[in-house]
Amino acid sequence: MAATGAVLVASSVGFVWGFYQPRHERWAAVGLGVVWVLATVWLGRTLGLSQPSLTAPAVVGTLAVWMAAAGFPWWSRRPGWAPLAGFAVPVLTLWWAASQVVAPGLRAAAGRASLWEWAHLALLAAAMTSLLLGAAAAGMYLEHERELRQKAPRVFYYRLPPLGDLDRWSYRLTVWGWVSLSGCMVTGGLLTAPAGVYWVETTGAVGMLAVWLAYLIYVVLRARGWRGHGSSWVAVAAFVALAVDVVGGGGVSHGVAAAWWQGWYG
Amino acid sequence: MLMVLGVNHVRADIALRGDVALDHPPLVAALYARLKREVGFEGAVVLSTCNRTEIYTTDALPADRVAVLWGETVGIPPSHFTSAAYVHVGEAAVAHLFEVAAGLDAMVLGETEILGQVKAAYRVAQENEAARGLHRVFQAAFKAAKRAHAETAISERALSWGYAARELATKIFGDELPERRVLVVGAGAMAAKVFRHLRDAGAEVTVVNRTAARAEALVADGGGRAAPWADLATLVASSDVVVAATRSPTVVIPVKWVRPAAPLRRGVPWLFLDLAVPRNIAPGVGRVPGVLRYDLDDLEAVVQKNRARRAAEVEAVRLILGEEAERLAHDLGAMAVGPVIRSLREKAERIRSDELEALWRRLPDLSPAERAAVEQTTHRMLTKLLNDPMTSIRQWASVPDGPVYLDALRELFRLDASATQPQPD
Repeated sequence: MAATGAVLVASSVGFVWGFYQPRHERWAAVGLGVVWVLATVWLGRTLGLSQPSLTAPAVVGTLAVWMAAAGFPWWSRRPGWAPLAGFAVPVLTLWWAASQVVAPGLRAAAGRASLWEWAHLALLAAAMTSLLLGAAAAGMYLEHERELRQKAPRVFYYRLPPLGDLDRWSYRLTVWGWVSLSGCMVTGGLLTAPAGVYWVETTGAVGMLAVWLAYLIYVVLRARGWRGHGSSWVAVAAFVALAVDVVGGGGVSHGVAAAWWQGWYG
Repeated sequence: MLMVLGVNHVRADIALRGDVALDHPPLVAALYARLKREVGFEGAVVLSTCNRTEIYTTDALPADRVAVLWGETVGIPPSHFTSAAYVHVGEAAVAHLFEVAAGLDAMVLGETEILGQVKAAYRVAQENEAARGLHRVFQAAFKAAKRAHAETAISERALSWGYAARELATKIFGDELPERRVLVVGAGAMAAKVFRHLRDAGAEVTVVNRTAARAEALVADGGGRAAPWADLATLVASSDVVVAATRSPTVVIPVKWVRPAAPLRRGVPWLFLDLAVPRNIAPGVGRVPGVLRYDLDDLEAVVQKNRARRAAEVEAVRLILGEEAERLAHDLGAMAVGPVIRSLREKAERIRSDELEALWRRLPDLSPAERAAVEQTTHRMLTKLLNDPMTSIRQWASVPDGPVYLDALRELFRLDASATQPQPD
């Protein structure tokens, strides 16, 4: 894990430096490839062994890194989208690091992790990854718009995709993330259904529901034609709220399924 | 070896460039005919654009003679333009041709149009059967220029106000630009330029002008429609890109038209481009939420920045051109050593053959097996003896003094000079 963290940090620095020196993005991309290999090995071992040391946040964090790194060759080749890594990977790194240290007491009992539970965690990781990339695209929109407003072309004026493309992709990624998050919440409830429990009133679970509702309002407004500056701010703010809930409020470690996982029920 | 004699925008004003221009096909054909008739040279290409007229030949033809032929063709004495002309020979001429093709020597740094013009000039030379000896060097120039444009940003970014306006609209709406409503207010020269740039980007453009006939004339060749001046306020409110370039001494688009319409856009950016002096769009429009307002000073700042970014690419382009020039020199060197190697081997083989004939006459009783053994032995001796010199000669293809060494070799072994000269492509 230390190696994954070190390479992730180096990649983040490389991608941010790549804003100004695009040729260095190549080395950062190699680093992300190494991270993907390390994450694959870790997840493979975890999946195979149901290790007692397995904690749900660590799995979700690593899965999210794995997904983002796996998708990198596709989205970085789209014209103008290479700088997305400079926006997303540092946040991903922070989140991954937090996921490795939060809720150290949460342990999955050996033999409990079924494919259904893995699907639950994978949906959460997919939601987090997609919402993170959506927020990153929204951040790129705001930065590009700021440079256009200042009428002083600097690095993002030349390197980022058009505002329209950023707005469209921010929306798409956020919708995908919201759908995945919905699936995650449903599977969490289904997991605990045999124990007759569908909901726990913890800060994390309530916070997660609030974030989900905020994204629902965002999706509805977007579908009704809302675009641009305000929409981008909401995508960024909602992701920050989600990250705070997941890392600080225990949105993962104190969710319904996590509580069941810990043996609170059944 | 290449030689170029030319006049360009750096050293000659527009009047002189016009006097010496070889832009009419009959003139060019006449010059090619004279060049071929008078000197029997190995190749010539005439390049004539708005910013330059250049004659590329092999250096078998002296520059002053080319100047005389050029002057006689255009009907002015060479003394009228030779003081503004430049001559480059050998590697300097190749480097010049590469820079011209890549747009480094152009008035607008990095422009791509010149590459098409050089290709067209070369095609005309081929049609006049005058480009035989320059095939490799021009093909190398085309390749170098293509690499320069593909691998660097030398030809990216707008360097004119009209194109900068299109670039801005594209930076905001991207692929959606053809679906966005674009309004051009005015029908003068600047409005026409912006209209054409936006139309070429796929946008459906509406043109409004006080004199409706001028707006209709502007859109007559397609890609837009004219609308009456009375509808201006409505059209502004319903457009995503508004370009104003009229001669009006007062503001034609006030804030009161924009402010009420802005919330209805639900966050979609609204671009206003004021390309008029005095201003046509009220400065307050830029303070309305969601509105981006650029005037000529703002566009000029963008163009200056773009120019600086292109200039920053020049070194990278020169590296590419240098690589391609080196490759060309190597290829040409390889062409030069081939005939020498062939000639040396043929001479050695001829000597061996003659000596064996003499030997068979002196020793008529040798059996066929003995003859074959002698033939094989002498063949192996010859091959071993020539092996090291051949390796060295091949290496001369890529060393600067290679041609000198080849001359020494020809002299040393008395190789037939005509048989060892490289054949033109």
